[in-house]
Amino acid sequence: MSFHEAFAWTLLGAVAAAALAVPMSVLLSRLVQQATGRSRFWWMLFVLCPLVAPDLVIGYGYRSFELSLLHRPGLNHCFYFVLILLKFLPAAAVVRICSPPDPVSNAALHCARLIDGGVAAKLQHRPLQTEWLRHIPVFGIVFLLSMQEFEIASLLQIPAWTVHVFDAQAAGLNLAATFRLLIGPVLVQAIVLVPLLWWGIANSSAIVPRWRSADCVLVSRRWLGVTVATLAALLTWVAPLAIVTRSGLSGIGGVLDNRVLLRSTSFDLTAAITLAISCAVLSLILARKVMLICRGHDVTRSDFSKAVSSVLLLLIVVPGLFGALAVSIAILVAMQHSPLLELRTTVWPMATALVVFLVPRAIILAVLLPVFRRSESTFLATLLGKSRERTRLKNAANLKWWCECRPMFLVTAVLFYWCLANLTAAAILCPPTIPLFSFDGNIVPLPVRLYKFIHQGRTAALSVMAVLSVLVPFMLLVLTARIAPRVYLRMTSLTRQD
Amino acid sequence: MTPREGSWFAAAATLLCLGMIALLSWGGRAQDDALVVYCSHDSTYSEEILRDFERESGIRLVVRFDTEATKSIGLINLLIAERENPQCDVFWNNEVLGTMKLQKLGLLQPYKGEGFARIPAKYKADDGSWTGFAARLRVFIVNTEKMAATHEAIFQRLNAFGEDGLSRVAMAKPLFGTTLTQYVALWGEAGGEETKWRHQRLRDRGLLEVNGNSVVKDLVAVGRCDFGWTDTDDYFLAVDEGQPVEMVPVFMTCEHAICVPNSVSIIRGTSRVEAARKLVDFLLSKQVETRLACSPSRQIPLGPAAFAELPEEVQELKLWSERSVDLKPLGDAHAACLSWLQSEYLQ
Repeated sequence: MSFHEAFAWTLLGAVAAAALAVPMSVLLSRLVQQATGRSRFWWMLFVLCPLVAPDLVIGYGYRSFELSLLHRPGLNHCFYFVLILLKFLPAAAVVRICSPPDPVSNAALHCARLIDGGVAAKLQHRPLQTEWLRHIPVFGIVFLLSMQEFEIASLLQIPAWTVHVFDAQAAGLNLAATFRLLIGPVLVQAIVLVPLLWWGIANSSAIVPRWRSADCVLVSRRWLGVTVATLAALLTWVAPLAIVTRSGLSGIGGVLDNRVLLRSTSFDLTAAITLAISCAVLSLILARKVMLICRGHDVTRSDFSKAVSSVLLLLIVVPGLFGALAVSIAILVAMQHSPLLELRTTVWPMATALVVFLVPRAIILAVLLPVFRRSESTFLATLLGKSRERTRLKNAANLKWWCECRPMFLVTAVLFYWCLANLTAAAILCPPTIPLFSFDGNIVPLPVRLYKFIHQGRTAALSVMAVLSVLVPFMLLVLTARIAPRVYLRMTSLTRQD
Repeated sequence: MTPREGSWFAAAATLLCLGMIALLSWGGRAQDDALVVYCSHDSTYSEEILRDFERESGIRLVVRFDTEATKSIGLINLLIAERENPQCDVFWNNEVLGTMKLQKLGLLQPYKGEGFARIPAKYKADDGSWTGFAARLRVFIVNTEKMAATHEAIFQRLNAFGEDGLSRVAMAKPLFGTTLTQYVALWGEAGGEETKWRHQRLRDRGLLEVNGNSVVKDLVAVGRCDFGWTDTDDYFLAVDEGQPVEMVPVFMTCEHAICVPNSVSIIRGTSRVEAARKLVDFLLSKQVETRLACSPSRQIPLGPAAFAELPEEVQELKLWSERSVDLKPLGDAHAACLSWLQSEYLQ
């Protein structure tokens, strides 16, 4: 299949996925919007978990199934389409949850109908227009994510344009020619990106999570939403992880016996985790800075300085919206020129690509932060913090952790997982060696090694490594979640004593 | 947290993160004495060998393997990009055509040591720029539950008429690896036009083109395809998994097998010449060739080896490899064939 055919198929799939996501995302967003109290967090986790499902594990898990579909490319395409739709549907739900409300409420419309036919006629057309406008960001976000998808397409042998460009890069096509291949897809994405950015900038101060009362949705719709969310979680998390774990059980002995493999895996994982933490935190800091400036909260600067920062920060945000592949190849091209040539053998290009890729995602997550916050608790924490009594101070610190730091930790954890699982930037920009702790061996981020092993077909060892690549970071996060509050409490109490 | 505290916290976190990235970039740069090796052979087998060299010689190695994204061609491109400021001392390539390209560009430093002397002339550069060792063969992998593993049965299928006559036959896209070598060998023997015609004929009749030899192996092993082109290391993975497969060597029209050796070379401009030479001799030794022959990938030793010490399967492979295509004159064919394949697949 030629590049243009591959591009046309990807475009068709992305448009179809985005169009379906518009109505389907309503079902998912309502599940979260109607939840109250603690259950809201669990609903959110349930609905959004496909977004952080590691693509390599999905692709590897379905590898055998995909082989059975190779003779039926139509079915293979359909299966891939269902996977990406279910994986990116939660992103559409997030956008819907955070979209500004319709300026004309149903009650206002009803009143207008009652009092005056002329006003009612005017208003009747308005909701239709605004409803369409509200769909633009939902459509746009799923379209962009589907267009940029690479890892699953590559492992399921789908001829997507991203796979084509990646293969061209791997096959030694010169960078200028590879870059030329990117122009068409980037332009098409820009067409969707412009209204999306316009919507984001125009509504920047109104983009916050919104909740609804439980009685405004039919029970049948709610169950449909639960079914879609369950199917998404099953297909993106449960099934692939179960398949990989099952095949990994037979390989544990072999991996434990192979000390070289164990050693290199642990170093690969350490390098990947260190890099992922750094990039996740940096992208979140940048994202918060962008949000502060966009919402005009940064009062310490002059208007000119704010304008300059806005332009600079937008320049940081926009490239990431074109996806990891476009960003990585652009950075690779930039690295061929003399001022940056020296950095080519370091992790800086890879880290830059990951941060640029993550910033827009970090902004979306930062917008969601208020989901976990409760103003009453924050207020109570502030009041308790003014007390001089030790127990109250401790309770204040505890509350502050739950209200402010824990949400931030959760957002960082999601960014960390995205960074850890990103193969594209790592594979294209991985330096010759990562000299971690003076270890002389070949350290590469774990996804790169996994991807290579998947293609070499080393199933037993690979399964163990794939499970480890999910479990170890997860355990690390759980451990941090347990320790961090204690450290925070201790630090806060020390500060107070000072 | 007040805005001021928040700013301080953000600044401290930024510095910490930048510090961690700097540590990953320059943390171990103190080991300037280490020998830098670029290696495109499967790390599962090659890493242990390289570590053994470290232990035996006391020479420290920094090894950079290829990735699936960059493959061996990625390392070759990297070596070309670094030509003004070489970072690598020794290049262990899992094929020879790419190494020959480096030789043509003058990036390799000739060395004829004791290892060079034990390898037959067909598998090494005349000037000592590179030397081949431990090879793989291109083979047909056949599912024995679907058809007989013979040349006759395979050619009967290949010559069968019908638009989808080859829909149960698989081959990796010939842009990389040993499939590319097979195409280059065909280009060298039959010419460009004939290669293009044969390739188009295969595609027109529904040949299944997949991403890599391991997928071919998997498809045939589980019976989704009846046979396909792969190489011996992938074939033996299927055998070790207990799959119902057998191999038949791929012969060119002159009845020569396609034998793809690893190759080792020293990069011109290295300042660690002595250490590089020791590693080259180590890799070309009988000990390493025998070890690779006994590994799960069953590489064929090219130098003199105690026949009895080799696994039974490798003994058979060694006999086939003795009449194999000479890849040395195929440098121009490689460039022309790759250029055509890129226009076919990547435009």
